[in-house]
Amino acid sequence: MLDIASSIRTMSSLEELSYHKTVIHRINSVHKIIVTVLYLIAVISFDRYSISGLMPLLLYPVLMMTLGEIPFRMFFSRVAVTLPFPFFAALPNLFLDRITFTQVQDITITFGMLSFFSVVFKSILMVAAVLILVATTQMTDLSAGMTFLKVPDLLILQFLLTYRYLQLILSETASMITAYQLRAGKEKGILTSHGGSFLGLLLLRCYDRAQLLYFAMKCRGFQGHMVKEKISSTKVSDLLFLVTSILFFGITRFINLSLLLSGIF
Amino acid sequence: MHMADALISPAVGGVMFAVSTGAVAYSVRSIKIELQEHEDDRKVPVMGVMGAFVFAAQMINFIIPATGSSGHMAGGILLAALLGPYAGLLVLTTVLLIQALFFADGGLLALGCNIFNMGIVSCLVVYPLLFRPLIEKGITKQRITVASIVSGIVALQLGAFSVVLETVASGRTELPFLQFALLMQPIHLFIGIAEGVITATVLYFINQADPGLFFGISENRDSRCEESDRLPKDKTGRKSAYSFRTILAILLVTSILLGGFVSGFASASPDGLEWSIERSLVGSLSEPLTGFHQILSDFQERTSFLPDYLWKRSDTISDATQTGTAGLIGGGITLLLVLLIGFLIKKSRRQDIC
Repeated sequence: MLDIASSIRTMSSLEELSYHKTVIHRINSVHKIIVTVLYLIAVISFDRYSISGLMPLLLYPVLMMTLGEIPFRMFFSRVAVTLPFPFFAALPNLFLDRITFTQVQDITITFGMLSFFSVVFKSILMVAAVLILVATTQMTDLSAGMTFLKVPDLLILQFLLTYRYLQLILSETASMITAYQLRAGKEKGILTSHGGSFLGLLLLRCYDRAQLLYFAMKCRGFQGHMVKEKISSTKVSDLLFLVTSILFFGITRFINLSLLLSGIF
Repeated sequence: MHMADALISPAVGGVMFAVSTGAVAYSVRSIKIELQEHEDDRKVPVMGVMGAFVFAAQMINFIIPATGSSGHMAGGILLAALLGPYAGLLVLTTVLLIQALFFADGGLLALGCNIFNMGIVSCLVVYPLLFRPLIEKGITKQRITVASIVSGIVALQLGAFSVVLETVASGRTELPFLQFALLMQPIHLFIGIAEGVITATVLYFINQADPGLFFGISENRDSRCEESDRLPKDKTGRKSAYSFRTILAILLVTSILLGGFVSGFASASPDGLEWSIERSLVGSLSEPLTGFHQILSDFQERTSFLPDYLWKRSDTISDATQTGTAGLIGGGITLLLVLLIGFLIKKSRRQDIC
């Protein structure tokens, strides 16, 4: 349950990063969302054995992170946390698919190895893309972008409310857990028999907070729907970013640039 | 149970995204109607804070006694029990979106799959079909426990099975279907039991503290009336988010399109079953029929007026037109039969008290 403290830190650090003012931060959020989704689609549309074809797509996260001044250390720690799942999910490929692809000196490379590395590499690329989106876009801009893309405003409102209250409720939960652990001796978690009152009390406190929140919103003129954020107007740089990205993803998807490059040498 | 992007193909991701978008859109509409109906937008901040609660609850380690292991809860059944199925789905969608964006827990393209596996299955399928009927008669400790555990097990089994299907359909891992399923299902059985037990303890606590927090169950226990009062009404006064007429019209048009036009392009080659039977039982199908088989075969010959979906082989009317017509007629007969069955059931049910 140290997760709770680290989760709060993650959200704070990502939010802090989103307030920087770099060229990537200034790009319209709608364009960034569209480019991120297109990038994800481009990556997962490669077949299960592609590695060299995927390599050029590494350029996107590298460029965005350097121009957006996202620390590489944070990137590595986020990726490391998410890697276990695709790692173990793709591990059977190594054992089940043993058809030889090629032999390099004494080392046999099987198709299983290719598919394993492909899955892991794709995971890294996709985690990077989403991290870049969140680290370079403020919450208000993100919600404005989602509104523009016709996401229902009730969903966006819930998204904002949950995000805002997450840190508060997580801190409260952490305090409750600490209080429990100080009384529970060697237990590493909450006993299931105590789970009812533990979670129940947290739930009732959440309801009370929601009540206070409701009154505060009403005092500020809330009438059941959110005031819609307006996105900033599209600049030439935004369109350039969008068009360049689409062209690059398209070319990389259909032409293996790594092979082309090796052909030159 | 969060699926990563790298394990799904664009086709599977796209389809599940479409399904989840439809369900979420329907939920949003239902909630809006409900809010207008009750003229009380108090539910909006409640849903927001409940999202944060579920997030926090998912991070807590619950120790399962005598096993030395711990469990976490997903919270779908709990949310649906307190907020209703539609609000529950919306809250879970929000939580999954935040987890995907900020914690890379589940991919952005796999969001559709995750919403389906963890949200739609528990809130829109298991809650109304299993949990709700079990506690409708009244909230007691036994009913809460049984309902929660059964719902938890079924929801997680279905969810895990969906993960298996989606992964195998995507073809990004070598895991064969059977082995993968045999791996996932038993693990999620225990997770489901843990989820059910934790949900039961929380709901029991809430019931002691404030029974009014349960969705759609009132204190006087006449739940059938409360249910009909609580359901959202649309402009015509009917109790649903989309009117019956709209749904019927859509079904009718789809049946006409499928039966009338698409069926004309159906292949005349033997279908899978016929093909495999031809291959495996060569000769035995042409044996003369005896006794009961003969009676049934004669009956079928006399009653089928469109054998093989054709009036007759003809040069003037193409096979496609004939099949199309047969499709329309067959569809029409099916529709009439279904409506008749529904009408008879409705008539035979005893009248509602309110």
